[in-house]
Amino acid sequence: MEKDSINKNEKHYLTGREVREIAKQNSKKMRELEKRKMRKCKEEEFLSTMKDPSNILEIENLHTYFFTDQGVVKAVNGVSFSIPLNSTIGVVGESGCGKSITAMSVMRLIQGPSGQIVDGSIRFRANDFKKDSQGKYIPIYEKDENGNIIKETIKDKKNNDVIVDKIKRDSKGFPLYEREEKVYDIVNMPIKEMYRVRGRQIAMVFQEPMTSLNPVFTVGNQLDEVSLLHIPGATKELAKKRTIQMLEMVGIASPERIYDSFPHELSGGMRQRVMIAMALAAEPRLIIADEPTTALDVTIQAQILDLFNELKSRINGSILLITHDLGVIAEMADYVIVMYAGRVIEQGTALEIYNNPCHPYTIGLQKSKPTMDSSKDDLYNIKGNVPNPINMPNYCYFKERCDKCINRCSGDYPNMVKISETHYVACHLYEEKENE
Amino acid sequence: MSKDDNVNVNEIDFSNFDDLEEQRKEEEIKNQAYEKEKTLPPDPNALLEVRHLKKYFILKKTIFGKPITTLKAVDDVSFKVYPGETLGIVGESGCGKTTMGRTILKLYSPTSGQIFFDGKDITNLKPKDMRYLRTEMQIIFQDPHSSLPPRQTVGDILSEPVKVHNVVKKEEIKDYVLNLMDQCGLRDYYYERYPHEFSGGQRQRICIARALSVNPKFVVCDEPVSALDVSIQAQIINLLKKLQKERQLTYLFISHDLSVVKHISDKICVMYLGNMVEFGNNEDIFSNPLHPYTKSLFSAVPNPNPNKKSKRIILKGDIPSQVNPPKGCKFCTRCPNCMEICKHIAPSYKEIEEGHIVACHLFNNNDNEEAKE
Repeated sequence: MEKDSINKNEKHYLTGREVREIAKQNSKKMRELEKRKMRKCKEEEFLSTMKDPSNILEIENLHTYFFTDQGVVKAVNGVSFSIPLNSTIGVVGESGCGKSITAMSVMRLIQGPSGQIVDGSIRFRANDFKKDSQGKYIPIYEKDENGNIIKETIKDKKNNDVIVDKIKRDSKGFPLYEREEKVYDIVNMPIKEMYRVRGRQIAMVFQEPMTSLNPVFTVGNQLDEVSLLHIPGATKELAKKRTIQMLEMVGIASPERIYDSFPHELSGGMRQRVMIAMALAAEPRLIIADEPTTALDVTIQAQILDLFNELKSRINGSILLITHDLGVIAEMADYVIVMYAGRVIEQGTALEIYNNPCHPYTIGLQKSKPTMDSSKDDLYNIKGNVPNPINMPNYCYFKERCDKCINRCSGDYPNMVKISETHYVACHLYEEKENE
Repeated sequence: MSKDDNVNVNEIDFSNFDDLEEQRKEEEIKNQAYEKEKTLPPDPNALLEVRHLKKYFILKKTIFGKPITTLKAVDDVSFKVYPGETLGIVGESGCGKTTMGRTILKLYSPTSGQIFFDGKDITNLKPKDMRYLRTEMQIIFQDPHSSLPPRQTVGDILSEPVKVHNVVKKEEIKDYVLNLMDQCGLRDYYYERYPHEFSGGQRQRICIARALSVNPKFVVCDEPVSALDVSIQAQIINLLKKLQKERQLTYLFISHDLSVVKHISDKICVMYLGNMVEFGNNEDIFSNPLHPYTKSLFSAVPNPNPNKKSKRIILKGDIPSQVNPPKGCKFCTRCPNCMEICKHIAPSYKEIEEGHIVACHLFNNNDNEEAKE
């Protein structure tokens, strides 16, 4: 018989008094954090610097908690990793391990007031627009050989000719504005300032394409909105042009027809393509794909993965892919991060994780998944269940399910141990080797 | 269809092809063949035999009750399952896997076709007569969260079928249930608990225990592991295999996850839009898939080994609507090697190797040696 997370003698219900006590403590903390979220502050307060300039996103010691009446759920408990530019990072883990919450924390989409980022920092290198003293974006003017700005005549609203400075435009007709690199600390940002990042710099593709599209607006309408909001100087005609171009880019055969259709008229794969087009519309630097293929069939999943692989080379940015499927990770990701119960337990390149998995959980996860070329013997199974997220123990969270347990496992939570330059694991088994 | 086989397909002129007329003729011939087959006795060795099973759902009717639109959820499927075997059924969502599983258990009444269970024709049994058969055949549903009654304790859930079907004496029920719980990896003190106190894997164990509480011979597993995590999935698959060995169970294992089906099944049936496109032994189908759909389905499964990057056959487009499926072969709109004949005539089943059946025009004509490759 396997061990169970719930002990027979251990009580698993709280009395009314206990619940009220917890709620009282929680509400104090939540109010404080909520106040901080809603505050107004100057830009300097949330500007930061990257530790490694080649990274696009650095997450350091992130703690995201949910203050429930049963106790504090530490959904993300000290996660640190970084995403280099132009790479694909895969986060893998079982449900409830905090992989989605990590992504939501990056977007600051955690449902308040119960869900709060308590500690840590998320540094993001944004390619944001430059602002002048009045808070307006500075356009790039077209100049002739001598450096003088070229003038052009346009018609204003009253149909009079006006002479203005000619603004440089890109191939699609959008005016260009001056940009600069800024590093934001997303955790410190007030929620109102998040418009600089959401959609424009970091875009997200959700799991359920039906629930994330608005059923009462056409696909074209919803896609146009992204361009109109996030690209300065966009007009309706330009936005439509861009939308159709985006729909073509994600492999939709007749974009004009799809532009005018409603989400319910499309199939699951088509909807997910629209979602990807929406994410790409504002040319973000980072795309977070939260289980983009879980709700889809195998053949449609193959289509979408193929599309992502193709896009990787075409967009100038990185992808953070969240999934529970080791197969998808192996096909897509350069780097893999394995999470368990709110912590990163192993990270490394896809080949390292596959060829040389170190943490007993990673090994178990690989062995327990039947594959197309595996034998028909009994599958390896990890005994027991994921521990209760409230009142996590001090020792290694995997101890109860681990079959390589040693004496030291009852001690402190293991630190990250370096296996190779890119490969790290949080397990006591490897700590000894390092010390020798 | 014996006469048609001799005609060279390439010589048929499809420009003057009357689809409706041809369809009607074809159906007539098929129906005649079915009538003949109907009188044949069932295979004595097979536990379950399904012959030309059809299940149509009528979506719209005229005021006189004549159907306008029908959804052909299961369209002409036949196979045999022998005792102690596992038949895996794979296909995309909406291909009729679940409907077939439920029709075999008579949870839906079949439109036409025959179902033989243990040598008896159960197609036209009344619900009252079906009741005693329920101790022989059972089902495990996909979602363990919604298939357990929230107001009953585990003990009540598991002892109810035992009471209803008089499996053991009244005094022995509790011991019987506790023994069953032990077999399914549930602790004895769970007897007094309610379903919401358990995690997904434990709930699925309760569902399995409930299905086995009446000692069935045949169990339909309708996506039993799809809602579970990978590490829990392995536990449940191992449990199902262990119970199969102990109790000589026969499974009909429905899943969309090919790797799981490959792991657990002896025989595999691939379905597409209500049709069975390929049927055969596990090894035959996986080592030598014949139908273009099966090939692309297998190649679409992501491989967890990053060293091996297999070439995928990516199908264009989506699965067509079931209400208005394409004429001829239903796969013709997405097929990478579609021929002219595919758009007009539905292929019939051909036995390529022993026990390996495929429905595809590529294998219909012996002259088409090139097409086979």
